[in-house]
Amino acid sequence: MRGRLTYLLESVAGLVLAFVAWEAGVRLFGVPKFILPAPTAVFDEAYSKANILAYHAGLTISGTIASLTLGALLGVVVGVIIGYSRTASRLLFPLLGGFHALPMSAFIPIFTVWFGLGAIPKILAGVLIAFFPVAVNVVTGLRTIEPELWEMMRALRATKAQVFYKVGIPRAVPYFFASLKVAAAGAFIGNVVGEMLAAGEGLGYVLLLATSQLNMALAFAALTILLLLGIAMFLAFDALEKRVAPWAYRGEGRDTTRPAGE
Amino acid sequence: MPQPEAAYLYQIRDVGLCYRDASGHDVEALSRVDCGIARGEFISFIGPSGCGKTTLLKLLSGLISPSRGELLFNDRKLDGPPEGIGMAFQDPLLLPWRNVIDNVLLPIEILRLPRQHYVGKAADLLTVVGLAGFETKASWQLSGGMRQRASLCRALINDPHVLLLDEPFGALDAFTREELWLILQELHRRTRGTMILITHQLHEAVFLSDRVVVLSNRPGHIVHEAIIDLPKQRSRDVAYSTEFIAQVDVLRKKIER
Repeated sequence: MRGRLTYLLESVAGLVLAFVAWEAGVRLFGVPKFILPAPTAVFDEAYSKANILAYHAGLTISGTIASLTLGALLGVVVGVIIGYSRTASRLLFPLLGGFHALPMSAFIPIFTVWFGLGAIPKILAGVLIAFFPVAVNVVTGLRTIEPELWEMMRALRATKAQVFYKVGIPRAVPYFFASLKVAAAGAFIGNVVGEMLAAGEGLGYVLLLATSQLNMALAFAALTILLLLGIAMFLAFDALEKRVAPWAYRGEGRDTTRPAGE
Repeated sequence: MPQPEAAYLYQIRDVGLCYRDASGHDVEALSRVDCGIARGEFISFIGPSGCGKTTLLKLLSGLISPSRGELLFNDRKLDGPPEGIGMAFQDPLLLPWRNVIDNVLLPIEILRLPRQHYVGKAADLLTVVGLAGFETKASWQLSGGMRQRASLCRALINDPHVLLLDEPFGALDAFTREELWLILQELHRRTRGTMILITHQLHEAVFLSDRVVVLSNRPGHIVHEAIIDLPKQRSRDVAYSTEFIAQVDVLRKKIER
């Protein structure tokens, strides 16, 4: 328990230090407000526009959740298909790799043509970014079954499907949850970029609007909220990952109450 | 009329195995192996590393087929893994997301047998190997020796006719290893099954076996066979007796270097 509290305190301390350095830097060098406002100015602006920011943050959060949910589902389906079938793997894996190299924000104008301005293009962009790490990690989890374990299972005359759901799927679970951390960040990025390009709402839109009006305090307020949301997501998925498959973290010294002797 | 049981569980007749390695070369792993393995026998195959011991075990498990010769299991040509074999490897390969008893019961699930009929048997096996009370422990919390004990229980849970052991104690320290020899001997006494052990540990082979077969360097073939002329029930002290050391010494001289 002490470890978790220390971790939390250290995370907060890191954040506070970053803000202190920012404030000190701005004051020390006398950076003008329209270039880089000090955190105190940013917090002032955020406080005075709290309602508006909360509304737009809500839209960014709900869009991210939608993207992550759909992206993770799609990633699991694609990952399981590729992990299970060698043929599907040969057909789809290179395509998937190439697809991932494309900048997903380039799809946003296309989605806008298809679906119009609004939430759909940004959610779809988030889905595209989020699904890839999930698919790849699920494939890795399914593919890296120890050869001896395969032999033992085959010697028991296990069917491929049995090996798959007795060994492959449980083995892939920690890989899946590890990928969620990355996928959540991807879903988030897709949504924010989507909001800047095609939504007219959300924190990405606020950021764009604020900079066009040279209201840098508001722009940085939006950025700061994005940062805090990012941190919250990361910590939440990190904790989830360790809770779901503690056996995968046996090397980290948590709860490794090995019996004495032998 | 009950059918008369064949004397041999396995008949290995002039068996050879070639395979193509990753760089496209043909490798002869085994050549002209001739051997019968009696029902209920404890037999060990020893030899220098790379002599095809593991290949032989894979042949016996039906995972691969010989490139030449004939391999009979229960008087029938072996074509894929037969019913009733158990396996244990150097790596215990327990599934870390399962607790100890669920690991032991894995074969029961694979064979779609009624789990509740085997829970008692699993507990009995765990008691024999000294893991009573560890049933619900997470398997990743066990020490290496304890994992290997659980792995033996898993290999035996479905009453296999034959247990195939590929250097199961290779990664353990000397004390744990000797303790597991005694446990394996006890398991053999109780199950009366056939046990086939692959090892490069001479003491281990002599201690456990009714018969030890020495394989040559690659391509592996049988260079020597010895009946181990020691009482069936062997205590730890036997391993330090003069007769035992003499047996080990005879075999040691047969192994090529």
